[in-house]
Amino acid sequence: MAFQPIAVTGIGAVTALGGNVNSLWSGLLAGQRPFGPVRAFDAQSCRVDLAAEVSVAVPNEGTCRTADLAIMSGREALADSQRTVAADRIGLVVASTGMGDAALERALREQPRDHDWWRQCLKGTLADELATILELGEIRQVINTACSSGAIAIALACEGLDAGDYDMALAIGCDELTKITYSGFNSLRALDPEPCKPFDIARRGMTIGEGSGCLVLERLADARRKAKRIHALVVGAGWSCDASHLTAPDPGGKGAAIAITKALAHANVLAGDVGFVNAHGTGTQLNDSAEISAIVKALGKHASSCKVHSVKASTGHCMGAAGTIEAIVAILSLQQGVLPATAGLRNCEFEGCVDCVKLDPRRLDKAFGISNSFGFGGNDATLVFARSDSWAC
Amino acid sequence: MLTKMEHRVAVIGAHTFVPVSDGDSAVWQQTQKIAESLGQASLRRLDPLSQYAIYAVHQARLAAGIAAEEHSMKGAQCGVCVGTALGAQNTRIRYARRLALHGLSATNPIDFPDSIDGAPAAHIAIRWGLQGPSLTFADGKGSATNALIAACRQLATGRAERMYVVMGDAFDPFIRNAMAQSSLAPQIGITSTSIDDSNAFALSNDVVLALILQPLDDTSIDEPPVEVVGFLGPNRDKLDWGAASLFRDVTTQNKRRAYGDLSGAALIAGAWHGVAAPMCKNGLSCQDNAMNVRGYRCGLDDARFPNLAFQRLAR
Repeated sequence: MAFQPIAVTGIGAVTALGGNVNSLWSGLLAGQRPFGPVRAFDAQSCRVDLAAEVSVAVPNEGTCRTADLAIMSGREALADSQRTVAADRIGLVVASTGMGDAALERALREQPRDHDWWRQCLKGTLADELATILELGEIRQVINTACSSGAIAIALACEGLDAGDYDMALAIGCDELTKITYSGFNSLRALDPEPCKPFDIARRGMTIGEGSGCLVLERLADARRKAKRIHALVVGAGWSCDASHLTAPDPGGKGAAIAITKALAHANVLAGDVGFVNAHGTGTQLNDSAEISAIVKALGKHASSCKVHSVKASTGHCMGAAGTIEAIVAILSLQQGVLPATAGLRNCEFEGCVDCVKLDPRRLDKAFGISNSFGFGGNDATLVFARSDSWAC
Repeated sequence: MLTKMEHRVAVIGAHTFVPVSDGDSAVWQQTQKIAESLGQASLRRLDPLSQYAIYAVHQARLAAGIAAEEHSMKGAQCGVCVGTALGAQNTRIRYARRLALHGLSATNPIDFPDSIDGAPAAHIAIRWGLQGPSLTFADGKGSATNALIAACRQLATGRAERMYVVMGDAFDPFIRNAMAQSSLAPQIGITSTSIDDSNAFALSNDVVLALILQPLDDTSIDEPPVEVVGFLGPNRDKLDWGAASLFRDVTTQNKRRAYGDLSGAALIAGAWHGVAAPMCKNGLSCQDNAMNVRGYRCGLDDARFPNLAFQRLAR
């Protein structure tokens, strides 16, 4: 059962490429790779000392950097959309995997006398803080489905709009670079010592990033009635679980294929109408091969002509923020009719299976695109986006 | 305003698990019990929340009469929603403590994935082959209710034919101590059964509840004991929290309260067992006419969380 088309009326992003959506988009088109040794803490004892950190100034408005990043993207998205709905009719869905980790690390290290530190370990506190500072209403959710959280947050916000829970929704994904996350992937030997190379034969792992993405969402009929500028539409969403392993994807991409298939069915979009896949594309051996298998399973004979790219080659893997940042890139791709190349991709392992975009951006002529997000626990999520002129009310 | 759900949802199985009365030895005994009953010693290596969640779902499945082999038939249509304020906090803290003491390169690769909020949902999905929706809400006080609502919505929109809902928390002593010594301290350990303490906020025993939901019109359900009939909108009048707390105390034999706003789930579990909550002071929460329990999940003292309405169906 499909939800009604949802209009994206505002977008905001903070990534290693810069402090706004324009810098994200121009950086991707230019193939920038702003990776470097970790600055937030000393990572020299790790196998790998490389990350994609946000280097622009981030105003210190919240109680942690994750909140600051979210506030920054939220302000940009709200300014882009223009607030036309009373605060109590605005919903907030927040995605974060590591919010609270920095407070926990600090508490264990410093044993603070102020015992209220535990509040900062709760992700619900982040939502409270964002709602207060961004002057939103009281309806909020916090989702953590690991690295698919951002995409799930968008889908839940769309469901909430469809059900009439609120009239405008903010879906915000946000995560700062923390020691816990960095050391965790280091211990799992999932980090590439060089900037990550999704889909390349020589790929050796991911590069961790940080950032935030925010989408302002409204029902399409409402947005058109208010004559709002519409970036693109969310027309479908699908999610599933591999149910096979806590960290490794199903090698055949079974669960991910279910998510893609469900999303297309939900949107009532045919596989042949999908112009591109904004891939999860982390750059690990297992993830990339499983994802390509899933795309081939789900799109069938159309897979080989479907353009596939990964944003993480330029932004790093931004964890809970990844799904929202990549959704914004998918939206801009439809809006501009251009798909950025996967930076660093030279020798694609999957030539012939899919059309991996490398070296230069490519023109898009189809009206639909999908964005994949996968996470620990076998969580799979796919969103279907449509060009704003492709859908009648 | 009560919004009646277009697609009605039945609770076909429920289990309330309170693993500890007091002290670490009791926790250990309960952990042993879980591992033995589920037949896997390896369960003991999991975070306590994951263990309790698996055990509660196991018991709820037994209560629902779900055959052991059935999951493989309906896996793609079954999902899990978890609501937890603290997540797999015990493992997270163990991981972070090792990091703080020994540095970034000395962390445990097994603990890291097990410490994520979504770990309990993942373990449930893996154990029973649930390939449908897998969602984890970590909203603090709204976690349990948001998980319940999301699960109902998965069924209503056809994304799943059966949802397992798990709500609860397992406290690490480090967090528990900080909570006890913070501004919550005066309210810790409230054991009063008076409904006048409706503004009190307390914790903190480990509690996990599991519910199994299916659409009411599923012909395979013979006697759905409890039905979720709708949601109270977020702009409702203030409801009472005290009766829910009291009811939870009665139903779980737990003299303290749980974090994560488990009141709605506890009320439903109570209705499952045929126990009704006493009337609360504003008369809104529950009424019992022996065979037909109608209840409203009682909210906290703010209006941001939508409420659940449910009823026990006459048998």
